[in-house]
Amino acid sequence: MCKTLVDLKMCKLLLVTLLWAISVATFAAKPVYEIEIRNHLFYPSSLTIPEGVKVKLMIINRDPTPEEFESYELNREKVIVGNGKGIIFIGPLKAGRYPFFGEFNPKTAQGEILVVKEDEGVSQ
Amino acid sequence: MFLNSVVIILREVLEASIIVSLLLALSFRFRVSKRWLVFGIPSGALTAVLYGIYVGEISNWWEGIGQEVVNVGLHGLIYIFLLVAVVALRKLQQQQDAVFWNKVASLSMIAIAALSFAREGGEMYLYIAGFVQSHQLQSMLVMGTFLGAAIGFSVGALLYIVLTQLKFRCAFDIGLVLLALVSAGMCLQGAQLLTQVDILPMQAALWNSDQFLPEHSLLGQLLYATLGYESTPTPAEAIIYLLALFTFSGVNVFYAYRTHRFR
Repeated sequence: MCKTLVDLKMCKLLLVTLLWAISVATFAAKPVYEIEIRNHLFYPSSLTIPEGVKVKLMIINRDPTPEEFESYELNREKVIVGNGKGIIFIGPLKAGRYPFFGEFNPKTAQGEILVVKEDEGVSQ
Repeated sequence: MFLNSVVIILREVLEASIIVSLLLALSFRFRVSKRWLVFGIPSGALTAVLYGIYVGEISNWWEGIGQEVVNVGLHGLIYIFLLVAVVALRKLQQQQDAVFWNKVASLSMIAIAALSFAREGGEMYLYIAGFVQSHQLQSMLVMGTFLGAAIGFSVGALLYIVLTQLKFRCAFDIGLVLLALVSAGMCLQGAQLLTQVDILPMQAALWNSDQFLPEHSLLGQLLYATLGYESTPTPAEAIIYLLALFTFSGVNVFYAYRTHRFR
């Protein structure tokens, strides 16, 4: 009984350490790309990132109203309040086109992430 | 505008109404007081509004992952209370300590209803408040909202009617299977939120069922809302889904088995 208790505590300690390590590694330098929302439009509407790299998207909402950044292809969904910002991690992704949209204003707020191989050149 | 409002509101209402209908159908035989709806829904709505108002600050917690962490917390709490509710329902089926387990069932259902409405209501509040704030509240938005909500509630009502018309034994088992799928779907959605903020690793998807049932199709969206359908799950997400499903089913079967032993 005592043995299982100790094991449980060790397990919990390991789990907490692991989570902490993951979060530290997470916030270690990952390339950050910014996307702005202005007048229910994304700027840039097409963002190019390299293949196979985890990147941090910083979505900055310059509108006074909230928007929900959503993408089925990327499996991401996050509400960004008016005059607020949010971060989303995407990747590593295979080369291709990954559209996203603003769920609250889908007609105008549309964009895409273009993932390209390294040798094809990357521009922001 | 109209169709968009319908779909957004429908998705949110449906997620909550399916859970509430299932719980209602499963508990109606045991005369669990319906007071849990009266307490649960308004407190959930209030929490939703509070969440909507403060989501900006919440999003900045823990270096920008606050929104996801709080949402995962909500999902997790709902799952835990669903487990408690299953145990209570099985105990009521055994007619053991009916008064006590009736209270447990009632309290866990209050919590589930409140948390479900809080979870969905937050997004609905933000969507509508945004248009109110910018004076763009159009009749299309209002009509779309009402229609989406009406459809969502109707589906829940239909589910309730279908389940309560069946023979109870059958309805009970089917209801618990559906509840297992719903609770596992909830954990899957939580896992996706964790992947979004890099707490769970992003991995290549196990499969892509987008050709058979696209996620962005209406059916795909509704299945996502109710059962957590995901066309490209990562291994971590699949493991969490299966763990959630087995845990729920295990608790369900364990207490069902004890039913028969005592009879």
